Parts: sequence; C-alpha cells; structure tokens
Amino acid sequence: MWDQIKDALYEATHRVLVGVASFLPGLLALVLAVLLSSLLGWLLGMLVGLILRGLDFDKRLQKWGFVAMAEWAPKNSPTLLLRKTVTWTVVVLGWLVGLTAFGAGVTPQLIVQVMESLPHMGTALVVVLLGVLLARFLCRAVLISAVNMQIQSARLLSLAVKWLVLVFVAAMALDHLRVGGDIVRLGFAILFGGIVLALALAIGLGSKEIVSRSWERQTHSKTEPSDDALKHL
Amino acid sequence: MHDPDLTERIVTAASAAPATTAIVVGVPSCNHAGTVASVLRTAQAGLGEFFSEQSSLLVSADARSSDGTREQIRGLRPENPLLRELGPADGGAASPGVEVRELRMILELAHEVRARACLVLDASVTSMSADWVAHLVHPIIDEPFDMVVPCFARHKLDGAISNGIVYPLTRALYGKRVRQPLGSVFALSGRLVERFLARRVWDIDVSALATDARALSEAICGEFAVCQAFLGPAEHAGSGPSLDLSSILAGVLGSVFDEMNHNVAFWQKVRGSEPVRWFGTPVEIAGNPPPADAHKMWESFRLGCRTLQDVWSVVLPPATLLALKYLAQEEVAGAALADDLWARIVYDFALGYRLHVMNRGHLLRALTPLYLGWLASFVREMAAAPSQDVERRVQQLSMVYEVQKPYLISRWRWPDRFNP
Repeated sequence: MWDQIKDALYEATHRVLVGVASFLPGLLALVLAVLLSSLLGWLLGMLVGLILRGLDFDKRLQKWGFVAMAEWAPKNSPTLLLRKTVTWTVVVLGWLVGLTAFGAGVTPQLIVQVMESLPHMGTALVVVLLGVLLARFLCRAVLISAVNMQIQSARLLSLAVKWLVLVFVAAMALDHLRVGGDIVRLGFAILFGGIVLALALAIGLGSKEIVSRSWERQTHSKTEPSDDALKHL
Repeated sequence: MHDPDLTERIVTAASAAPATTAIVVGVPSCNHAGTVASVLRTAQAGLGEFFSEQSSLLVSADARSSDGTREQIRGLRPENPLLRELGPADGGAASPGVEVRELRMILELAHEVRARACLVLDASVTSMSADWVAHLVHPIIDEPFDMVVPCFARHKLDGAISNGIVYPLTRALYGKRVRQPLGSVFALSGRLVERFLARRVWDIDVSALATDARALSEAICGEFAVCQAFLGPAEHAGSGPSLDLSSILAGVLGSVFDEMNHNVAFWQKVRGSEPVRWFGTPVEIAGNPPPADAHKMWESFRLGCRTLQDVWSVVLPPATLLALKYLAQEEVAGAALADDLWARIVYDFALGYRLHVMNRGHLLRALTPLYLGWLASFVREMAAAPSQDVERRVQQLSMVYEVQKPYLISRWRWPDRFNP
C-alpha cells in the first residue's frame, strides 16, 4: 500500500515537474520576447523621434497643411505620435512572438486569427483616423459659422455635428471589423433615425413658433431696410 | 496666358488698336448687366472730354456672364468704335475669381499696345462720372506717378474693414498712408503693368475683393510712385447674392495676409509712415449716415468670447485672451476694445495665417466676432462725432498699429519664443 502511495506521489510530482519543465521555457521565452521587444521598441521609437526632430517634422507638416493631424496628436506633436506608434507596434509584435512560444499548441490559432484580421483592423483604423479628423474639422467649421450667424447654441450645434460624425465613423469601423454584426447596423440606424425624428418633432411641434418667427424675420429682412446698414468695405 | 484662343483675341484687339495707344481703360465684369453699359459709356465720355488728344482704347473683359452683360456690351459697339471685347468664348458658367483673370487680360492688352496708362474700372459702380477718368489718369500721363488709388467720399462709419484693419495695416507695414487701399478701381503706368506681368502678380489665387490691395502693395514694394485721387461717392449695384460679413473678411484679409507673407523682406525694414500725394478736392457726402447697431455687434463679440475661446487660444497669446475675457463682461455701454489690443489681435491673426495654425478659412472667419467687437467700440465712440473727428480717430488707430509693429516683427521672427 505504501508503495502504491509512493508511486502515486512520484507520478504526480513527475507530472507536475514535467509540466513545469515544459511550461517554464515558454514562459521564459514570453518574458524574454516582451522584454526584448519593449527594449527594441523603445530604441526604434527614440531613433524615429530623433530623425523626425532632426527633420523638424512637426513644423514641416504644418507648412504642408496637415494642421489637423498636429491637433489630434498627443501634445500637438505628430513626431510623438509616430514615435509611440513605432514603439507600440514593436511591443505588440513581441507579445505575439512570446505568446506563440508560450503556448505553441493553442496560440497559433490566435496568431492566425489576428493576422487575418490585421488588414480589416488597418482599414478600420484609417476610417477612425479620417473620421476623427473630419469630425474635428466640421465641429470647428459649424462652431465658427454658427457664432458668426449669432446662433446662441453654437457650441451645442457643433458638438452635435461632431458626435454624429463620430458615431457614424464608429459604426463604419465596427462593421468593417465584423464586430457586433447586424446589431451595430441596426443600432446605428435606430440612433440616427431617432435623432432625425427628434429634430423633426422638435422643429415641427415644440419650436414651431420659433421657426415661424425666424422665417418672418428672414422675409422682413429681405423687404425692409436693415437696422445695421454699414458698408464694411 | 495659358489659353491660346485668348492670346489670339488679345493680339487681334491690340493689332486693331491705333499704333500708339496712350490710355487703355479696362472694365472686367461678371454678371453686371445693369451697370456695365453705363460704366463703359461714362468712361468713353471721360476719355473724349479730358483726353481727346491722346489715343485711347476701351476694353471690356467679361467672364462668361449669364445675365445678359455681354449683350449689353455688344449693344454699345455701334456707338463706340474704340470698344474692344475680351474674354472667353461664349458658353460655360462663370466661376469664382474669374474677374481676376479678366483683369490680367486687360493688363496684357495694355502691355501689348504699350499704353502709358491703364485704368481699371469697377463694372458694378452706379455713381461714376466722367471726372473719374481725368482724376485717375492725369497723374500718370502728366505727372511722374505709377499708380493712382481712389479716395471715395463716404459716410463717416462706412468702410470699417478698411478703417479698422486694411488702412492701418497697410500703412504700418509698407510705410505709405494710402487712405483707401480697397478702392476697387485704380490706374497703373505702363512700366508698372510690365512689372505686374513680369512678376506674374495675378497668376496666384487672389480674392476678387482685394485685387486693389494686392496691386498697391506690389507697387509700393517695387518702389513705384503712388498717389491718391479724390473722387465722389461710390455706389455699387450688387451682382448676384451678396457675401456675408465673414466671407468678406476672409476674402479681403486672406489676400492682405498673403501679401504680407510675400513681402516680408520689405516690410520688416520699414519704420514709420509718410503721406502720399493727393489729387483733386475732397467731396462731402450728402445725406445722413446709415444706422449702425452697436448693441448687436457687441452681443456678437460677447457670444464669440463665450464660445470661440478654444479656437482663439490657438492664435492669440494668453494675455490677449484674458483681456478679451474681461472685456466681454461689459455691456455695450462699456464697449471699449483698446487700440493696442486690437492692433495686436490683427497681427496675431496675420501670424496665425502665416504659420497655418489651423485651416485658414476657419482662422479668418474666427476673426469676425473680434472685428464686430472693435466696430461696436468704434461706433459707440464715434456715433455722435463729426466726420473730421472720425478721420482723426482712424489716424490715431493707425499710429497705434505703427507703434505695435515691433510686436509683430518679434512674433514673426520668433513665434515660439516671443509669446506674451
């Protein structure tokens, strides 16, 4: 009986040790890959940063007219944005290599899936980036125009435009990533339709007097002399 | 000239002209059916009355008008053998900025016939008299001047963009006191026309609202002799939908700031300003000045202060933003945007335009509430004052622009380091 217990303990210990022995190299490889990729990412990021600073990239970009990119970048510096992008790309690649080494049997499937979805992710990222730039541009354009038209709720209007574009862009990106499937499309349609319906109801019912007064003012301003007839030029 | 058909038209028009043409009078037009015939007739009368001994040519350059302007011009041909018609072939639609192209064609024709003077008129004017031709052309034909800029009789508060921005800025930058840089008509000498064409002054994108300011700054920077001529009042008929204030500001200031960028080497050396010679006698404008609602303007300024801080903070330094914030707490009775603050704001926007800190259209349009704030202060202060006092006040403001010029130069040279 004692021998049987001894054998069982021996076998269990052996299995655990074999398991640990087979697990440890993978873990060490993961840690090593992450450490090395972090170091490499940091070094490459520094190198890219140094080169771009040497080229005066931020100011050149402004001269070329890419102002919105500078506004969107962290600390208004496209150099910093590119530096961080390079660093994090290398770190993520290191993680993928480490995970492959860690669970050779399980993770290749994950890697394959990740690799397959990379083009979609890239396109979605571009859609999001362009959408954010467009949203900021339109937000500012609407804000300035609304202030110049003396609309009191100019900020609200510009924010509404901004979020409408962002929601639209987010729906497009998620649809491209095939996340959520029809739910995203339906959700967006309901949200967008809801906003339009709410606006139509607000104007049609709640604000009909304001709208009619506004139309009256416009009609009068076309037929009657303005109270401010200065010639600016 | 990129269109061979147009080149041929210019050459044909030039070859049909007298061998020695002294004066070319050009009228660029675009949808000015109601006024173009009257402007051409008056110009013809002016040439006949004051320059009958000089050979002259009247040129109409229409930019594909769709309102019958061309028919109006063609209807004048039988009574006016000197009239030449330039412009693209019939058909197609007019596009924005085409009048600039028509202006260039007139200058090319003037150069082709070796004219001593080229007078460019505004086809939308309804108050032109034959005297205008004499006042504008005489300093070039009989005096040693290269450019004559008009000075129209105006109501005391009219021309606020010119009074508050373009005149003081042009004066401080280029050192010449040309009172109305946005006159819309001007006369040029043959050698100045030659320089404009050689330097391709009209080949770049320029707002039709500021061709005159562009011509003026080019003439001053080329060290050509500039003078002014007093004319009567200038009434204009609209052609098509009128532009809103922010579009006018963006059109004018975009061109003026572009000129600043082109002529940095010149204006950074200029200190102070000098008077520019006048011709003719000033005319007082009849009638009451139009009403101006300072309250509405001030409220626009306050709305801008409440909502556009984020946009302005990209252009204006913190000290200016703080001053504006305090000012916006005042009601219209306390509206007083100080001259030095206003001059620095205009300089900061010029710098922001140069540095491309944001979309240039947005930047220029974001100036509108600030301009209305300045205008409300000006109207409140000057509403009851006589015209002479208003003129004195504009001169005082212009002097402040000159005093603040070192601020502009410092920020222009070291935009990152010098940021009060």
